[in-house]
Amino acid sequence: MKPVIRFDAVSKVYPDGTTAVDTLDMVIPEGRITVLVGSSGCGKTTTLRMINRMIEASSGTVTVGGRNIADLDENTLRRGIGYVIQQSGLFPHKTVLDNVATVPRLLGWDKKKARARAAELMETVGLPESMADRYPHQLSGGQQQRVGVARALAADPPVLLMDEPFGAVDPVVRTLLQDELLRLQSELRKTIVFVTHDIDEAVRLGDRIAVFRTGGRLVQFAPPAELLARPADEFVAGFLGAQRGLKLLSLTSLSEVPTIPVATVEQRVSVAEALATAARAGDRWLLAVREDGAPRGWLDTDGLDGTEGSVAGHVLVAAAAVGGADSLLAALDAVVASPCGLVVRVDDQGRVAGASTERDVIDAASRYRDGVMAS
Amino acid sequence: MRWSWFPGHADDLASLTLLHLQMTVLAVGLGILIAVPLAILAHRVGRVRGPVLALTGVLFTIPSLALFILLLPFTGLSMTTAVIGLTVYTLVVLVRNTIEGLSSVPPHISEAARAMGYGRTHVLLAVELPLALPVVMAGVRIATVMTISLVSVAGFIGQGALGQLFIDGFQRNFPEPIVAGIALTLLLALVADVLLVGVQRALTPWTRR
Repeated sequence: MKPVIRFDAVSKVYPDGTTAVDTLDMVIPEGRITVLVGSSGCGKTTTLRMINRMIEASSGTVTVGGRNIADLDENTLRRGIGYVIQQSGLFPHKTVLDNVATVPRLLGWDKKKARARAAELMETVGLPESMADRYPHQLSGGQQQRVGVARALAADPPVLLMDEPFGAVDPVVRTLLQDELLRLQSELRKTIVFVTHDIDEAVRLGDRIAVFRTGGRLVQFAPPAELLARPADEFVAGFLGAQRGLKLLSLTSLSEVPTIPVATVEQRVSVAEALATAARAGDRWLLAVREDGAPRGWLDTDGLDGTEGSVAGHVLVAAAAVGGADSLLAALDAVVASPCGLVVRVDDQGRVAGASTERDVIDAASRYRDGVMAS
Repeated sequence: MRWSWFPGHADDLASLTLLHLQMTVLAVGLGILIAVPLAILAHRVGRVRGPVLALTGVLFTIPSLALFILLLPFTGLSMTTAVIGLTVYTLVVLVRNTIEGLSSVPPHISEAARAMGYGRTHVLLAVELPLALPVVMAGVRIATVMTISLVSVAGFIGQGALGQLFIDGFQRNFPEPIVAGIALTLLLALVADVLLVGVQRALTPWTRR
């Protein structure tokens, strides 16, 4: 089964006349994360649930891998599609390992093989082996969601449906789980359909984003950068929120921003020595660095004449540093907060590699925006 | 009180206790066999729920003696009459608790099971019934203790097991059988309840951690 999902003129109308999804045409690409967003009641969850026939379409056809799902046995269809929901939906009466082994068991694998596969999956999603024999209620919310993801992946389905899977965990854990999902996806290349009402989550995870509006209408279906740069209408622009431009910058890396040398001083040297360095470099602000080369903070050399002691003992202004994994948005944020208009650049080991100027960061932002607009 | 009476009648007391236990097990066992399918039906089909609860409730309000008398023309002064009556009384608790247990299963868990490719019957057997078990077992415990005490009433149709001792002692103004009957009934109820708690714990390991 080729994991590409197609909606052709699909509608869902309830007996009371409510239209949940209105003549939807959409092609969900293979091996990508497609995020469905919109406010509550916009039909995004209904759309998701029509893929595994938890909800039957009123009209139109849904095909998965070229096959009309209405012609397939619903249980067979569902065993080939992973499903993760907000409340995890784990079986309270089964151990973590047996929960993960659920679908392989349904597919007729013997217990030993299913459990071995489940143990493998637990490792994949970063759960320690010691949790295998626990019951779901003994786990934290974040751990339960990991088990939910492991369970959905156990039979290696080509398609994964995720219905606000990280909606009930705190923001720190949510970010962590999002990172994990991206890491997993870079290895597994599943066709993932992900529902959320959080536009930041959509921008972060989605290769493509589908924006729905009340009444079940698909308004725009585009990659995040295009969505942010060119929202189709007022509704989409409003849904994307106030910091649309900044969100756009979160999608690109720092690779286009030039790095220039920066005057540094080791934090253990004396203030007098630092002043001499500053005089040689002709800079007012020096970057104090730790013994391991990591940035410690900015030292203002103005008015320090005659001060005793080392640089480390002096008041330093926090120096935000950005590295290869950070976005242009992080660099812009750091450079705005910097006392001297410079953002510290660090290498993969976290050592100071130089700095970038405010001007260069903003220029890179403009070039990126122009590039997106032109594409 | 003649203490020597007790060891002298040990064999009788043992066989009466065993009979008492047999009648209880039969009544509760039959009760479960009838109540669980009825409760599943009521849980699945919303319209059936009200009538099922009403019917078992009404049956429960029939005085026990009257129920035995009503059955006499059909099954006579037999153990069958006693067991049928006792079974009817277990239904009110067993049906109610089984429905309650099934309703206590969070809908999203049944949904998740369906979404992973469980059929409807499979969800019932592998997910909903096991999760309902703690509440169902609570009902079985109440029904068992209740039945143990009710068996005595069947003494009026000559099928009272340990309850026969009360009637006997009362008619002959003879306290020893009454004391023995009360003590053994209490002991039986206590032991049965402890055993059922053990069974429940063994069947529902996830509730213990």
